[in-house]
Amino acid sequence: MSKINKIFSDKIPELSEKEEDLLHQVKNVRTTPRDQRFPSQNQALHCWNRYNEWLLCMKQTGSDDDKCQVYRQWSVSICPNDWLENWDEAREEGRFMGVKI
Amino acid sequence: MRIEKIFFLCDAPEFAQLRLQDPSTTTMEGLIAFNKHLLFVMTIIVVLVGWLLFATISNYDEFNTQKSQSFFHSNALEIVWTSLPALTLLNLASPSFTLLYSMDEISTPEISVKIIGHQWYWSYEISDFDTMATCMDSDKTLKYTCYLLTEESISQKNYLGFFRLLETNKRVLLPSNTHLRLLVTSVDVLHSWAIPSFGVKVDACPGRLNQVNVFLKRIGMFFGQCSEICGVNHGFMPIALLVVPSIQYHYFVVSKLF
Ligand SMILES: [Cu+2]
Repeated sequence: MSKINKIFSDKIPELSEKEEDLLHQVKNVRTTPRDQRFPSQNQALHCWNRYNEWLLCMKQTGSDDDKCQVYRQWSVSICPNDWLENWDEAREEGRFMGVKI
Repeated sequence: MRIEKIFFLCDAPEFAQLRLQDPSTTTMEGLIAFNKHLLFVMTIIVVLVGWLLFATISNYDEFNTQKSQSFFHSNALEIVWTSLPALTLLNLASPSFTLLYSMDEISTPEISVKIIGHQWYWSYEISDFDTMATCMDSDKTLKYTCYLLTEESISQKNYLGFFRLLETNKRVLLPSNTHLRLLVTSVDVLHSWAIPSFGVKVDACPGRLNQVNVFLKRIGMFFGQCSEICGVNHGFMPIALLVVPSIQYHYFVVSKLF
């Protein structure tokens, strides 16, 4: 209980410049935007699509991690980690059904 | 919002509770308003029908047909008792549909929370800050695996005031006044992620990612339970959420990840 009270009532402590900057960055983080192609409640295909968009980007840029970072983040944001691990594993073993690099 | 206020609101079930828990989203406010509207109409119907039944039984019988003769095959009566139920239904349908369509109003989400049902616990993943974290040379992510706090551990001193069968070993922190996207899925059998205060109840199906958008209007501790029978420990996989002001949430993310 005292811990909860602390979280609610504690003033945010004085921040150093670095923390201030980090806070600003965290504030501006936005998750995967909505996609008009997937208006339904089930977002499984949305996740699959974002993952393949990242792969497509990797293919087109010759595996340039920096350029495809946004796509990677967007797929990571909405896909359960289990699924991503499965697909990463499938790609390594060459049995992946989606975009092949 | 003042601190005292959150403890006066009912965000967890009470003993012998009759009413709904206090709303924290517009969805739940709408649901409660609709529920009240329904009860009002129902009361009128019950009184009216009861009175009609009583009047018929006490006023008419097989020997007393004087009065009933006067409205035998009455057109006016037929029109009234056909249109009245139709109008009543219309009166119920219009707010019902308004609510239904306002519930899947879509907004641009700021944070995605992945909620995964297991036999028998819930786990949560918030991966929106992953890229930022790796840029900052930290591979930490926001992940929660929430098991039930057993009665033995609750009876310990530092857990005084905790709810039996509702508390988890980790509480999921969420920001208020932020558009959240909840993605509910399961890894084994069907579960259902339900929080009465949010007006949210979504099935967790393996292979599906069910999306709900919520906008939490206030801070507080919110409790829920699995709502789809999923096995022996179905009743022992509660949900405990701590909703804090968004600024404090951001601060939490900074201190947790970097
Ligand atoms: Cu269950």
